[in-house]
Amino acid sequence: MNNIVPLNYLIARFAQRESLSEETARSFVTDYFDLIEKALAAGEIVSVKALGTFAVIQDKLIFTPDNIFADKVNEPFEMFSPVTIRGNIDETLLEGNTSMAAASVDSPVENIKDVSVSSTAITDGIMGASVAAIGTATLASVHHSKEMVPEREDAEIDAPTEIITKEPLTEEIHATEDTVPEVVEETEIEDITQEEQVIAESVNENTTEIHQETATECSVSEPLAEIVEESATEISEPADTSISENVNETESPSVLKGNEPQEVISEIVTEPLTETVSEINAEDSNVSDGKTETEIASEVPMETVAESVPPVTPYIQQQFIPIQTVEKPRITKSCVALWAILGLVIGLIIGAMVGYWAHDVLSLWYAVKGSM
Amino acid sequence: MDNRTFISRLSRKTEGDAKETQRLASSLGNLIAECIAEGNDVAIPGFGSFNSVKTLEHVEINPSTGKKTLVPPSVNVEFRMGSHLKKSIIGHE
Repeated sequence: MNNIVPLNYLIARFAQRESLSEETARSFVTDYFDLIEKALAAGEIVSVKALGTFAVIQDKLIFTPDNIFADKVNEPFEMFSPVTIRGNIDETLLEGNTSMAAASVDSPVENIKDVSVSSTAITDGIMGASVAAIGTATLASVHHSKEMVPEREDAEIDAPTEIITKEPLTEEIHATEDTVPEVVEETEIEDITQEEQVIAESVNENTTEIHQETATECSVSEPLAEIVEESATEISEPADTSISENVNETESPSVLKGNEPQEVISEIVTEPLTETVSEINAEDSNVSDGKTETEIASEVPMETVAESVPPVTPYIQQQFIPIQTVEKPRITKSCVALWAILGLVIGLIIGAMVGYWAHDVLSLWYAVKGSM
Repeated sequence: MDNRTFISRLSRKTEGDAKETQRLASSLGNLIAECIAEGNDVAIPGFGSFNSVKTLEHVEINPSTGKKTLVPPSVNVEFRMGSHLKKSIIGHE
């Protein structure tokens, strides 16, 4: 329900703005609306600049706001413009963002930054589709990570919580947002192999695992102790596939074109993992079998790791149709020279033939003329 | 009645300059618009009320082309007649 601005408040504000006395402002406002009312009662159509047009049609008053008035009312949203959605993005994906905007529209002036954030997120999702992919991947992997938490937590519980912050997550999201358009521009999305998808999956899994870890660390205290006990027993088994996954996946070559995105991804993936793995190695030296995490990771074969990773839906491939560039034929100097020689030879041949034919015709003509 | 006529009549009524009256009228219109942009309704007793109607951002589909467009949020203004104005209009007709 909107707040109703009373006339007295409007008059006081008007008087303050125009530095008028309250009585003068009141008389002006009253005369202003009285005049409109009388004109409408007389059956006239009243158009007032900076307000709008009032027209009575069949006992109904129709008010059409003036352009200045409408622009002023929509001033908080003037930075937005309609965006054409490319590809087949689900509307369910946009619902989350629209709900954010719905919350912010209730007080548009105060929460204008929230609106801008939500709409930019939508536009980014539309333009890049990477955010959407991340969003869906994270949503899916959050559910997935609930199941794999016991496997993973033996590594994370020993790792201190200082490392697990939201900064890597935001960096990763920004980095993926930055990298994806470049990948799209190169129109070689078809060349993205499964290894890239595995890397993207690992990035998403890392983000969701970090979420999961922070959630578990913040919310639950008792299960942590249980998980610590469980993890002590599970470390001896080669259940640390997640660690080995991450280690192996960071080592796997990425096929992304261009150096910068590849470097960014490698930095993103390696930074948190190296810290966690190094700390795990340092702190998990008291494993029951005497095996360190690196040894366990080395024992896990690469094939099992690759099989354990579910195939990622190539969302980017769905969203972006690769632009087929037509290569223009190169015209070199040698090619031009070859064509010139060929043309010269053909010209000489044709000239010789024409000359021979002309000679025959002329000789015949002279022969006929001489006989006559 | 166009804007010029309205301003001339209003300036005659308020015994002021037409230019100054136009400036004040524009300022009043802007003030009402600002109040509505803040999410409030402006009520003028006897005349009516200007209500803000919010439209959330939504996806529109062009039926002919099938293209989807994300339309940003907007605020529209709706005017409801007051009782005095309603009586005067109906009484006139």
